[in-house]
Amino acid sequence: MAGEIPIPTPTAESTIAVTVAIAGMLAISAGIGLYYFKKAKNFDEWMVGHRDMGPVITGFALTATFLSGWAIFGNAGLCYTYGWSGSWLIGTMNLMGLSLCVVLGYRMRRYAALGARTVPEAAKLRFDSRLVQGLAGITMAILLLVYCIGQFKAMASVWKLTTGTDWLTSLVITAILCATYIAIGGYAGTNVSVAIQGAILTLVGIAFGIASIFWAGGPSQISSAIANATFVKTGGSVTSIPIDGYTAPIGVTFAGYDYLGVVAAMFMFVFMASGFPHNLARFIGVKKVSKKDYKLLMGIVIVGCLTPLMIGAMGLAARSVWGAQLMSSGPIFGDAAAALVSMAVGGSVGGAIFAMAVFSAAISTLAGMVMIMATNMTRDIIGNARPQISSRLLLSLSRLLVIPFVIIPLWWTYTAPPPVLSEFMSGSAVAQGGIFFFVIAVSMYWKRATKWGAVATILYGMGMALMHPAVYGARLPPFNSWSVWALTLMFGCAAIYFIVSLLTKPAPDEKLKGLFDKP
Amino acid sequence: MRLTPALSITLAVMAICFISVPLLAATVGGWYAYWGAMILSAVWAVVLLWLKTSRYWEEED
Repeated sequence: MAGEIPIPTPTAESTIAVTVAIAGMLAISAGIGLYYFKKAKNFDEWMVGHRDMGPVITGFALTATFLSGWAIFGNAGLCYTYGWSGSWLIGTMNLMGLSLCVVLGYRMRRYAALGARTVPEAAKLRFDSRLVQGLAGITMAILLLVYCIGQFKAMASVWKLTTGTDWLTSLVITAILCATYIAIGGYAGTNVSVAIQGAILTLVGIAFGIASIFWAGGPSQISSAIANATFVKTGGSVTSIPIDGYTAPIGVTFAGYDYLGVVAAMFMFVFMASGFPHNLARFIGVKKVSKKDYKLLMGIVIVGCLTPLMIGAMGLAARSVWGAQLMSSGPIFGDAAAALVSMAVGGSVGGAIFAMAVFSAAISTLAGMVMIMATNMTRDIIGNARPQISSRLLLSLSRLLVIPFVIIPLWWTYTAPPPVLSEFMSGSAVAQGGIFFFVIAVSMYWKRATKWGAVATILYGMGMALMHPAVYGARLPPFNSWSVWALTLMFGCAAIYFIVSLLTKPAPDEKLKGLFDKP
Repeated sequence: MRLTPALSITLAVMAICFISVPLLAATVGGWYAYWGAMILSAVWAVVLLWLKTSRYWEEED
């Protein structure tokens, strides 16, 4: 079938459609942000609103921050490039992790009631330690910076593919849109607008996923095309490695290389949803919910978690129809699959709707992360070191810090764009999951956890992050293997967290009042 | 948190769901393994929801 359907190219019509769709979505989101921004009387309100977010807003907002550019854009690249074996990093079982986050993360309300406005502030309350707060703040900022790169690549790629703008201009346009949007929105604004974005990306992702399967001739047609395909490297070099199985011997740095990598990827998805600070932060602003509301929240999350699989299906459909042609076209390569399929399926309007969904996913995650990084610096580091500093000055500093936290990942994306987006982002996800699943999520339930257990876990996790196969691990076998590296990081964090905690003294009971005991 | 029979059964079901994902991929493969992972995850989520709302619901939450 390869070659029968031409790969779509941008036209004047698609440029106008994409511009209108994205501008419309951002204008509505920014309008909501501006409304909440004007309503906010102080720094606390700006960050968490009035703690009155219901299950629908929280469910969709959580889905949107979890499903970033990785899910709505990068997943197609994974399946396009690696066939079925790419599905492990797609997270076909990502719902296991996000549902666990719904259960564990809800306790964040208790910390919000005691004054925590950021996840590191919750850590400070939990361990009665400013050291843990500062360390957690710095760690989150570093890991989230890496994660931001993926969001920029997703947005700039879809802009380039649908409008024909060159790579640098696409990145600059994306950055200007993001910085303006975040500066206007703030947390409370983005929590509502993020929920709208979550609803958009869920509906659009599911609709295009189903449409793409039919467009490619149905599930059987796709299966037989993948059965005959082999792995093609970025740049277009063809190999004889088949991609019709759930593992592919492409290289030890690939998560789907063997079943050890598969297990590592699965644990990554279980840990990372509760380890992502931008996910846990969604629960700071949530109101007290009934059991019925709670079930509704979980229901929204279940439907939302279908989206990554649908986007993966778009990648399989693209590979089935176009063969490996996209692997020769940098800097986007196979990641272009979803955007191009949306244009092939729905024309200019289809491309515009899909571009809007990608921007919805990426900008909501990016906005959440940039806000967290900025407040980590102000509240968790500057405010922590100098408690007498005024709330007003912290607010101004937070807004100012949005600029460097947008520019740094932007520059990285321009100078060294990752060839397979989701593969790149999984490095940061392993570290975030390994460290914060235990330090934050488990600690909210395990009273025996200590500050030294938390500190040791953070230091070990960050040290091991440097052993990533693409950093120092390449020269230090067996860490040149992604599976060995990921499992050593995650389960090493677990072992250190529990062992050091059990060997050291926990915070006194009076300091933990209201965090564990029932009122 | 004590290991009650309800908690034990729940954890066992969740563990079976988790282990079944790669087993399905290795034995059946293709679309069945792809969507099967989602179905197994949905079972996991529903079991977790049941455990939270029926056994570990905390009013002060």
